[in-house]
Formats: sequence, C-alpha cells, structure tokens
Amino acid sequence: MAAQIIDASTLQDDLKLSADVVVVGTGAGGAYTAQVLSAAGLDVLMLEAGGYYRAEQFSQNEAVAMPMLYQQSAAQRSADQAILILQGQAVGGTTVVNWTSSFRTPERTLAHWTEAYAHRHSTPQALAPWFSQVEQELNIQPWTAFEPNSNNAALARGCAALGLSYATIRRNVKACANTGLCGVGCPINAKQSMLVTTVPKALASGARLISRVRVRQIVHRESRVQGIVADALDGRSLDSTGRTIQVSARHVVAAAGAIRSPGLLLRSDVPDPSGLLGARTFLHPVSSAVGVMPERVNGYAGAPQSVYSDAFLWPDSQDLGFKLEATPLLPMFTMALLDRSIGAAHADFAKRFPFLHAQVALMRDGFHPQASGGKVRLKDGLESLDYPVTDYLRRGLLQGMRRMIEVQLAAGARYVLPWHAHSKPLRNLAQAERWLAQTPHPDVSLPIGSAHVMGGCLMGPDASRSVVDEFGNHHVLQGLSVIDGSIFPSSIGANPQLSIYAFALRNATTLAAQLS
Amino acid sequence: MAARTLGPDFGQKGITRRRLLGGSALVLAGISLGGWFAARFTDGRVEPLLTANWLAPQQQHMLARVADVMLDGVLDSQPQARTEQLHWIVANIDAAVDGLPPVLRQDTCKLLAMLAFAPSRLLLVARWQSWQDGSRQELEALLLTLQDSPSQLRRIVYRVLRDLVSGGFYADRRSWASLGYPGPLIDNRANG
Repeated sequence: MAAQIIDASTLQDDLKLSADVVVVGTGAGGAYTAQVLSAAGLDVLMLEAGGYYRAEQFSQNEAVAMPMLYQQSAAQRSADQAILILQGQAVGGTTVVNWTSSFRTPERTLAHWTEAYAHRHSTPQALAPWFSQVEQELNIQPWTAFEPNSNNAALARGCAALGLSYATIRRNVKACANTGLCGVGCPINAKQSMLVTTVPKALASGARLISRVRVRQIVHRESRVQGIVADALDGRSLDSTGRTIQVSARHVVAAAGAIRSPGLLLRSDVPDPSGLLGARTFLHPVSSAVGVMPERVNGYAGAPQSVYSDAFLWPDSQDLGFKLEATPLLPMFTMALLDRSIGAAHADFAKRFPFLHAQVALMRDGFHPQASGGKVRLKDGLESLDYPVTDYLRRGLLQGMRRMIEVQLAAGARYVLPWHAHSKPLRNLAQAERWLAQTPHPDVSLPIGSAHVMGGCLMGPDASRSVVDEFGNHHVLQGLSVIDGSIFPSSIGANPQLSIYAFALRNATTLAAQLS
Repeated sequence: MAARTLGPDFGQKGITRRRLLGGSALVLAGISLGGWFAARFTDGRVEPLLTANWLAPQQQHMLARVADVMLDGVLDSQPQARTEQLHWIVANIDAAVDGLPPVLRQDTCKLLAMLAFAPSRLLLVARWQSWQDGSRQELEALLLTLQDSPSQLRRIVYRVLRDLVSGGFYADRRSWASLGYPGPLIDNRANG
C-alpha cells in the first residue's frame, strides 16, 4: 500500500479527516511518537509545518538550505532580538539539520529533576532501557570511523594541554562520509534523523502525513480533546493558502518543539492551573570564540562535532556551568554570523577563513533562580519567546568565552577573536582578561546564539507545579499529550536530541498502551 | 476616457472651466510640492538596480552603498566587477527578504524604508544626507557608531544591515573563492 502523504500547499479544497491520534510535529518527539503509536495499530496522522524532502533535494548552499530547512530562514530570534535561535522546520524537524551529537541526559540533571520537581520516573535506571533502545535504533555510537576533524582536534588539543577533561561525542550516523554537511541536511542519508528512520517506519505502519500545514488550534470541549483545526501553507511554508484542514481525533500529541508546542496550547486556551504554560523555556544560550590557527583547519570539512569538554559544566561554585564544543564553519554561517566587523577588519577575517577554529560554550540554564529561562507568549496569535538576559547569564557567557580563549590559545591559536561587537585579536590570556574586564557588554554587543530549545510545558507529578505529568499527559485536558523537548523542567546540559528520543519512546509506549 | 467622464456632467455639477483649472493648478502645485519633498526626503528619484520583489529602488541603492562600505577589502577593486558584485548582492538580499516569514519580512521592509527616507533616517541613525553622499570612511564611521550606540534600536539597525549585506554576499557561490572555500564535498548544484 502506498504511503498516504499530502503536501497541503497543493490542496484545492478544505479537508476534513479523522484519526485516532494527531501528532503535531515530526521532529525528535513527534516522529518517534508516530512510529510507536502506528506500530501499535493506531490510526496516526502526522502534521508538519515544513516540507517533506529527500536527500537529493537538499542544497549544500546555506542560502538555499536555510529558508528550506530552518524556522524563519534561520533568522528566528528571542522577542528582544538578543538571542538567535536556530531550529529546524521540515519533516524530521531539527533532526534534519542538527550536528548529530548524542548524549544521554546527564545523571546530575536527572537528579535535579527528582529533587526539585519530585520526579519519580526520571532516574538513570528507569530511563536506561529507553536510551539503549534508541541508541540501537539510530546507530548511536562513538565516532571512530574517522579522526576528529581539525576543528574538533583543536578543542581536544587545547583541553589536553590544560589538563582539562574531554571526550569523543557519540553520533547517530550510518556509513557517514564525513562531509561536514549535517547542518544543511545530510546529502547521503547517513545521519539517522527522523526523516530517514521513524517517519518512514511510521508511514510503513499505516500512519499518514500532511506536510506544509500549521495547526491553528486544538479543539476541546468539557475537558476533552476533539481534534484540531489547521491552515494549509504555501509551497515555502510561509503564508496560509486559505485552505483549512479539520481533523477529529480522540487524542492529540503536541510535538512542535519547545516554542511552538506551548504556543499551540496557549492559542488553544488549554486549561493552565499551574500558570506555568510557556514558562521556563530554555535555550542553552551560547557564547563563542574563534581562534586563528597557524595551519589550515578547514572547519567546514568533516563531522561538525566529535569532541566535547564538560570540565566546566558542573562548577563547585554557584556560577553557571557550561559545556564546550566545536562549531562547524560553513561560509555564510561564519562570515555573516561569527564575525560582526566591517571594512578592513572584516576583510582580514575573510582572509583567515580556512585557518579558523571555532568553539561554543553552552550555558546550562534552568538550574539557578537567575537562569530560569524564558517565557513563550502569543503576539498576534504567533509564538514569541521572551528570554531575559540576566547579569548572571551574561557573566556565565563571558566566563565561557574566557575559557574558550584559554583553550584555543593552548591549542596553538595565534590569536583569538571573541564573538562580540567589540572583538579584537587576543594573543594571550592576560590580554584576554583585560579585554573581558574593560569591554562593555550591553545586550547586543555580546551576541548570543542557541540551537537547543527546551521547556515551556514542563512535566511533573504535581498539577500545581507542572503542565503535564511525567509521561507527557496533560494534567487537565483529557486526550492531550506533549511529547517533545518542551516537557523538560530545565535544560539538559547536553545536546538534547537523545534525551528527547528516549523520553518520547517511553512516553509514546505508555500512551500506546493507554489508547490501544 | 477622462473627457468622456467629464463631458456630460461638466456643466450640470456647476464645475466651471475656471474652477477646474484652478483645481488642477492646486493639484499640480501639490504634486510639485510632493516631488520637492520626495526629492528632499527620499534621496531623489533613482533608477532601480534590478527588478526586485521587495526592495524599492532607493533601498536597492542604499544597500549597494552599505555593501560597498561593509565589504570593502573583500569586494573586487576593479570598478565594473565591483558594481556587478554589488548588483548581485542586492538581488540576493531581495531573495532573502522574500524567503522570510511575513511578519519578519514586513518588519525588515519597514526598517529599510525608514532608512531610505531622510526624516526617519535622521531619527533612526542621525543622518539626513543620502547614503550615496559621503566617503566610504565617513559611512564606515557612521555604521560603527551604530554598532557601538547606547541605543538598542541603533545596534539592531547595524545588525540587520550587516546580516543582510554579508548574507547577500556569502550566500552566493561567487564569493566562496575569495574565502579559500573549495565548496562542499558533495554538491548538488542543481538545487542552488
């Protein structure tokens, strides 16, 4: 039987459908959920705002890939414009464009959830089988097929020189050719994203898929979900075509990611007794620094991330912890984003392009009262993330920058250019510390990025302190689950894809048992 | 068409020739005044650099000028080649604006329109003069004051202009050689 796939941009008329379960979003949470539920014999309909692409349709030119595969053409920002938030938009969600880094949820993060949010089912032991299953299904293994590329090797070398701990990252790839193109969609389907794993499996089990559709509202009455109403989008997923899609369903799974899932619930007037819907949205805000190395690095080539350091992730002090990773250097990303200079300074940066080595420091937000994340609100019916950059967070970002500079210099960088409006070449640590102490850091002078969105529909056993229970079921509205990164009550402290997969697998398996 | 409209009602509505001419003179004066204001406030009438979806001719010239300043040292120094580069940068910016979600596109277009209109430009970036006036050094100094401004709005103006211009250049395969970027290991060029 041919898979039932509709591109909503081609619809000539409104559509009325029914299903057992509607899954809104096909990223890490939604696609895994759809696979599990359809395998259990449920009639599943997947809805996705982005397009459904094959690897041969991907462009390796960022200018084409970004509007095609990223939310808001990769120009999505927090409400005050301070933070650039990269997030995928396509069938497969962010897994289509992520850099394949796969970490289990750190035990200290799970311990925090157990202690601070009274979780009973978030222990490493309880989650271990789910992690194992995902790791097997997505071929998550240590990256040993190739040596780390020069960009990641520099991170390892700097850490080694300073006596800092570092390790190899596990990746969800199969027969990877080390192209370095993960961020624009793997051209050879080596990345085991949802596009090539769970989505096809769900379709093979009879699930249906509608791409280029934006869910306007979850329809509910008397505390029970009845379905959804959605708008068909045009061929670029930008504007509504005016066609409407209505689906009656006994269950709706919100899996649109940690900005759009809370946004959907807010737009749908879903009961919110805790008052926390949309709150505590986390980003792993990052600062960055670019080292100019004496030899060619070619930071665009090879697996984007294969080395990390958690040496500063769990400091003994109350300071904000951060993870160090390398960041790949494709031309537009590097020249338009990582450099903020103009004229002669920019021309000089451009000349160094093949010699650049870049790192990011990912802040572990959500563990401290002054890093309590942002809040998703509705503005003209659309989601907007208000994420205040507190002094505490800014201090953490600068501490991260200081450490990256130290590691890059130790790795042999001739000089380091911090990602900053007042960036200047820093040739030794003393100079870096003077610069850090003296340079003003108002909101926009310190650029902040993010590629990990979490929280906003936090899970917990207590309806007065959370939006959904530990299995993603809404505390009040029957027939509604949230299964994506928005259920996490803090950031993960590591790239979140594997955490989302494992929680999705567990929660979808529980849901399948409930519904079957 | 106009004569037919005027014909039958001309006398019936009491519109005399004198009144019509008087009215026309007022309209003409209004148009002239509007033209004078337009010339003063919108940097004068300019020919478009290209057929664009979103960028008005003045915005095209403004962005070309800003690109000429921001990317000085990266762009070709030979005038004709440089002009060609500036044209395709503007075309790429127009394409990038076209790919933005409607709300973001609207905000970007509004900002560009304000920057191309002298009174709003004065308020936004403290510059009445056209973008075409002044040396590269002078414009670079202005842009750097925006980057360093205590006003968040001015810093955002810098960011938007820089993002658009650098994105417009480095989004294009023709810029890659200048970086020493050999292109992707696998390249489905047919996809863009």
